[in-house]
Amino acid sequence: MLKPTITIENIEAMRVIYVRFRGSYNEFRKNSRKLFEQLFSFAEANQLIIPDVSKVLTIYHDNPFITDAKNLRTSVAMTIPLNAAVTETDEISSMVISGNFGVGHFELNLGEYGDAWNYMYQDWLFSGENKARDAFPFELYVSEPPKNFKAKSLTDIYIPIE
Amino acid sequence: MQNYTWLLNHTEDYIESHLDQKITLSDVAANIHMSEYHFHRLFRKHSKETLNQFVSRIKLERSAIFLRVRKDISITDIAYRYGYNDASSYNRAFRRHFGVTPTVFRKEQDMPSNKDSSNI
Repeated sequence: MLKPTITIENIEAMRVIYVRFRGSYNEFRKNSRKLFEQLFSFAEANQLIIPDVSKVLTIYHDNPFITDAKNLRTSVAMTIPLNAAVTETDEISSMVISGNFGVGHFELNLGEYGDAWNYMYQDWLFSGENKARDAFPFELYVSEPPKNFKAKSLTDIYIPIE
Repeated sequence: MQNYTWLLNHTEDYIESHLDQKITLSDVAANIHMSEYHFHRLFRKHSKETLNQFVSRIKLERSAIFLRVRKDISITDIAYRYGYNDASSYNRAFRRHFGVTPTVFRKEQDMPSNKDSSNI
């Protein structure tokens, strides 16, 4: 894994639509394609996709070492304009993300995501001057995630900081 | 659209934005413009936890992460940050949930943060 560039970013208000999964990461992975398809089809039907602007995220609400697998919450999400009119369904909700984040800009293949998250916490957050803020971290796919283990894509990891 | 998943999503998001406050049935019902009666009925029908247990668990689990990543903040301050009146009520609730006190939990080996993902 190449060492990432790190920037500090203040998000004033980033609105997203999301589908939230409750269960273990293994179950999440088995279901993730279906969850993203659900999100995309809602976004398409509601004309929320803006080419080259809309971004897709995975949000990790809990820590698997603390929360029981059955209660782990993971959301797949897509950015939408702040003023977009959204009629929520039972499965698709919207929320606004804001605050300061340390952002690691990575180029990753499918097998490197764990290393990237470790880098952000162990090598960057816990070794530096920044202090963690109590909010959820997420990964944002700058370019389309790789379809196989050889290809790489650009992914930003957002760690909430004071 | 007032089904259970929708209710749960918005209740979790409400807790996320009000971690430092006491959260009641009236708060979460008002947040989604639902009557307390209807909210309570839906929640009780679908959830294995009571609303109080649910709110308390999410807050305690969040506080546990924070205990480990912010060792510069005292246990008393962490108690206040999660809406507890004092350190002793936080200690009791924490111990009930995790089986150890916040102080012991904080001293345990650092929590690995091996978020793994390969989603699409």
